Amino acid sequence: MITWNVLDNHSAHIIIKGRLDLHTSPELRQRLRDLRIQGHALVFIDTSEVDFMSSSGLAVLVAALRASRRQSGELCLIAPSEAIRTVLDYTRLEQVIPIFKDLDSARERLDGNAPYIPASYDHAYDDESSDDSEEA
Amino acid sequence: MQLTIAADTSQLERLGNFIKDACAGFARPLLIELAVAEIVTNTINYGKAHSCTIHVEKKRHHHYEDFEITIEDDGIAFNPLKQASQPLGELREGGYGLAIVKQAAKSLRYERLGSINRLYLTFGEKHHDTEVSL
Repeated sequence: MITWNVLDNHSAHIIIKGRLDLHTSPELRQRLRDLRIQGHALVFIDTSEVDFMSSSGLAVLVAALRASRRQSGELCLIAPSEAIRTVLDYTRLEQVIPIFKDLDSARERLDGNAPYIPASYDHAYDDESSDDSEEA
Repeated sequence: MQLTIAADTSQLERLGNFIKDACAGFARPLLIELAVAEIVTNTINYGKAHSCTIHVEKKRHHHYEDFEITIEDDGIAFNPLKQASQPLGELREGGYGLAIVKQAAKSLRYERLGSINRLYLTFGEKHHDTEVSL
């Protein structure tokens, strides 16, 4: 199940629950595309209640992330579940796809006035020990 | 335990529930579900199979247990062990499924029997007295 709400003119919050596989991922792909067309290139995806994700689901997230970055935006995962973390771990993408513990910390990090430039983003898991320095 | 499903994406959730039930004693049934789903997804996407049969058997060894999974499909011949591995950690949209399978499983073996692909996967903790054949 996918729900979403628009946060402002350029960002949106999506919540995914349940499975993300070859059968269910087309719905997410379409939703992300629709939001991007509407100008919401900064996307926060809550994946805390995803109980299964295959590489088909991962492919949708990667495609959307790349598309967001082409629009000077970003896509990040909020509170990934074990199912999500397992796939990110096995694909070594846990250091590549931005991950945050909650929406507030993600917005604080990514939703600034200056355009976010993701090329220098080398570690996105925003834990308590991370500093508050701004990304270039 | 055994399940036969149509090679259709609508069956993936049913497959997942079957694996959860059949592998309930395994420490991380999610890994088995993930690997099996990746194989069956390939069969649906590229293999043009009509059906897949998944057989699960728990094997007790002296000090440990393994789950042995056999996946059969009637699609075009495809040996996943002969596919070149692609680099991990890249933002690309494909090529991760088999990498996940190879990492999750303790061993993999493939054979083509007539018009049937048969893939054997073993899941369990790796022990020094077990043979790993990837």
